[in-house]
Amino acid sequence: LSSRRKTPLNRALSSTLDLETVLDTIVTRANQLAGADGGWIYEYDEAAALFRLRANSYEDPHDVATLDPIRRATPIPWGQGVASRAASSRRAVHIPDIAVEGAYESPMRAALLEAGYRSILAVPLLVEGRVIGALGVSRKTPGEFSPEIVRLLSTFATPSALAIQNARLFREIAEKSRQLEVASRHKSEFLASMSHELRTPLNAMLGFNELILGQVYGEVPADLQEPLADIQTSGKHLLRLINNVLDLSKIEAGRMELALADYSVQDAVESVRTALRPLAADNGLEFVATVPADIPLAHGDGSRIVQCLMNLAGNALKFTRQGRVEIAVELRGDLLIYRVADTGIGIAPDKIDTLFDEFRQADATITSNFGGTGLGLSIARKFVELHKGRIWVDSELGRGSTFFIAIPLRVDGGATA
Amino acid sequence: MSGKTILYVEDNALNRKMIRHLLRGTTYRLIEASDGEAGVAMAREQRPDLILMDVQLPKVSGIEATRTLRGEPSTANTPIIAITSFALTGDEQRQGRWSVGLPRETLQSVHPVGDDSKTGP
Repeated sequence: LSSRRKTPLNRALSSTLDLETVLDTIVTRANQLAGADGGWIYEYDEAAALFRLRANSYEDPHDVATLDPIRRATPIPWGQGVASRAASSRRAVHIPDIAVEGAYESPMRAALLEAGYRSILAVPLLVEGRVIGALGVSRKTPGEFSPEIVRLLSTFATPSALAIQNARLFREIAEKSRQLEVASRHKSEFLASMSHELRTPLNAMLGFNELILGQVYGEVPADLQEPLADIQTSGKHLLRLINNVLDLSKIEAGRMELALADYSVQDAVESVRTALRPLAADNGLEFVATVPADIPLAHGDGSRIVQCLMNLAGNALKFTRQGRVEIAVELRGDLLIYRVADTGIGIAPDKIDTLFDEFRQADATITSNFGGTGLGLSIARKFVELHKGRIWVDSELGRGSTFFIAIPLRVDGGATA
Repeated sequence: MSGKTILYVEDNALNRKMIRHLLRGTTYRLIEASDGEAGVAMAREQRPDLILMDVQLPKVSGIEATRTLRGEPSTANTPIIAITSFALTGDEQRQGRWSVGLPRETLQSVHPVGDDSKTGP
């Protein structure tokens, strides 16, 4: 092999996983350099015990037209033909004249003789001693192949075997990842349908309980008021959990799509304040919102931004025993920055890193004291990321926390998780 | 303003019972249909004053039923309110609702109304 010829071959092998291209290149070069009339590569399918054509090349275009379709349609069983002999003996095998009775048993014999072929040389393709296939050349003249040509063909064996092996590994990985994708889709479809099934009976429970609380069935005895209210609170908590799990599963399955539209930042913040004002009042907290009047219309999924702010402000109100919670908005260049600050219990520095992970609250005991699903922050992070933005927190234990959401004022394109 | 008719189209029997109980003791007459097709037929026959429409319905969806009723002169102006239960997330509430003219606010929970003059259209 001259270096001039070596370079393009090596490049073909290292630059592409496209097996057909690589093997075509190899077989064409082998054929040319061996001065043969035809060349081929068969891959061995262990499970089926068959050699299947991967590439072939002929000097005479007429042979391409006649032999290529026959070879592709004719897998060769283990034990027949020259590929099998080379593979089982683990060395080069040649047949000086296939016309000699008994010298060559193969489903290809008749077609080869018809096309005028007489002699064949084959080398095995092995990786770590395992048969991957065989590479061969054929001539239209009878006679043995010279040791130089045998050696030459052998040098093509290793790259061919590796190419097939790499392609197999690649196929395997692609197949595995396809299977994983399918499994993940099944999981999220299961979660989606499951959460619908879970919510339907819950809806009846919450609805009838609300009718009872609303005195539809008559006056509610005083000592029943509180337990009924507890049923309502717990039921709604369960519902939030289910909805959060559904949101997360959709995001993770890549099926959460933002409904992008212009939205008013003032309205978004105001709806959060209105919804959470009762909670603030119950906890005796000051709850303020500061939105500059000159903030222009934003472009994004307003309802999801509201959901994020609800999660942040809801947390702030829950984890603050006294003081205030503030939602503030600021426009810095093209960046819209939402800030939710509280004077609450704060977050220890070593807890901040995992704060936005699923089912993480800074302290496991917090759930029992403060409630919450442990999903609010991770959902907020996912929605912020869908908006091509960033969420983070500054906090000091005992002094309070400030959460920031920075997203482009105008989010473009159809972002999907 | 008494004796107005409300049509409630909802496939879930418990949800229908809930509204039935809610309206018990009011002057409203409640009629019920359990799928979109029956809902459209009943709306044509009985000309209710108000339709409460579930979104996900068998046979014909609430969205589709609303579109049909909006297209017919006898029901084009009947107020139709989409009812989504507690149980629906924002996504499901959003799907295609605005395009058929269902109100932006959905009834997330319904409170009994003693004096029906408050809710006259």
